[in-house]
Amino acid sequence: MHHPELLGIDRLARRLPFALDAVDEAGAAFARWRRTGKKRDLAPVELWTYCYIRRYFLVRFAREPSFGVSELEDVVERAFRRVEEGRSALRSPERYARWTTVVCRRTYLNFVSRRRELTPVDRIAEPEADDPSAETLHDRAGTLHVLLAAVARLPSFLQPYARMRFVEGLEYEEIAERTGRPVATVRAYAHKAVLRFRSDGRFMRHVRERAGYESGPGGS
Amino acid sequence: MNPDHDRYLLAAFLPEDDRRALERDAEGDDAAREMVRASHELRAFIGEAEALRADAGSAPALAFLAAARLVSGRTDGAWDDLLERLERRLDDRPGARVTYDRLAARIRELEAASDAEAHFRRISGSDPPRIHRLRPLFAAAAVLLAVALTGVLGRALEDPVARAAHRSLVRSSRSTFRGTVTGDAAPYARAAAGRHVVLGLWPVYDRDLLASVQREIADPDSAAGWLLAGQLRLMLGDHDGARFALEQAREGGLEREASGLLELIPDGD
Repeated sequence: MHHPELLGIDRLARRLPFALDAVDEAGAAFARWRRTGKKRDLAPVELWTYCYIRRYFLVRFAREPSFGVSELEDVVERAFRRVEEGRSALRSPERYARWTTVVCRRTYLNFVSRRRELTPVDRIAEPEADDPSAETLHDRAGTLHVLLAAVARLPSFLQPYARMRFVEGLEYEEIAERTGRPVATVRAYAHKAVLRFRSDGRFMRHVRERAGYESGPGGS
Repeated sequence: MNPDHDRYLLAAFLPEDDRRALERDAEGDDAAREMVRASHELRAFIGEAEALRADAGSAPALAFLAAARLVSGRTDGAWDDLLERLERRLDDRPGARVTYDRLAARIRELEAASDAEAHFRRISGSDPPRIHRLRPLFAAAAVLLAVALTGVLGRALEDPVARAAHRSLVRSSRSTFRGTVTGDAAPYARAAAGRHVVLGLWPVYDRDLLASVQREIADPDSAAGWLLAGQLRLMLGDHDGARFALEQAREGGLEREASGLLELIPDGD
């Protein structure tokens, strides 16, 4: 196992008051800036936007050895400018993170398409059929972050069971084996956790937002 | 939320046959159908988080995992633990491990060749926000002030519910030692030591110690055990968990002590 050292981009991201994948906090920071218009409130929005975009493209560039670092900086800047220009029209500030990933995707597709025009056809790799897209992965990471936060708000006796069941995806029998508790107890605790999730307003806001988003756009 | 309808919230988490039976049962009852719908929304949301793990073997997911391990900013322990566990699972899949290491090396290489901070400064036209640190002189003054204030106010500011829970715990501990309440005395002694008063001025709760006793007695099987769990949870500020535990203790026969603590839990917690 490697032990990750701090990269320049991570040092930068650590100046944010919240984690890079804390999408609700990013949305709240954006909403605050929109409300106040103060430069002080813009600073975390700018920094989050930059770091999030840059990591998005690191995920993309990691698999493309022929893409250079000057192209990375160029495409990050393009996406950053597009976000800067378009965000004032965003109707639902809490969707800022999700919308940013959409901008990244479009910027990336434009970048690849421009690049292809300059690349001989026989050197263009065939796309993989079952690729989960980078933006899907970013969305899922945001979801996972929201879920972890909801688990942390559960009463402490429920937390390990909820984490194993819903975050790690273990079966009731596996959890019973790990904790030494009967399967029925594990099942009862997991069910209690679901009931608690339902009464957690912050968590349910994300759940409903996601359900609405899947059934049709309308916020951005 | 109507407790009678709670069970419908579990619909989407049940095996197929049980789910269908519950859904049939909800037909004609709007509130029950609403709970079933909420259940599916919850399941879909949680399922999305599960999908990140399921995809962990594909190249894009490996690239994402590598990037997130290297760049996540200021995270809490739970996020780091999860990513570390996902990374550790790759040890059982040599092919995925090799791909992951290659992708992580590529990300490091890209970052090493570029100065992210300078790039941010150039395109945003501003310096990244600084993490504010107190200057040494101000820091020393702040520490002195804090010491003076907490000395005077320490006891007054102590959470009265936690204080009452500790008193109750000490009483339970004595009863246990005398044999009037059955139970193992060791956890009581350790939990009682979870609150101490520094120089007679500052009450301090040792959260690590209290949490470790709590883990030790997880899911008690006696009223005394539930009472201890409730006392510990109150000392840790977990009012919801405490209420649950104390209700079990009350039902188990320790009505006076448990009810006394339940009455102290603020409404709405």
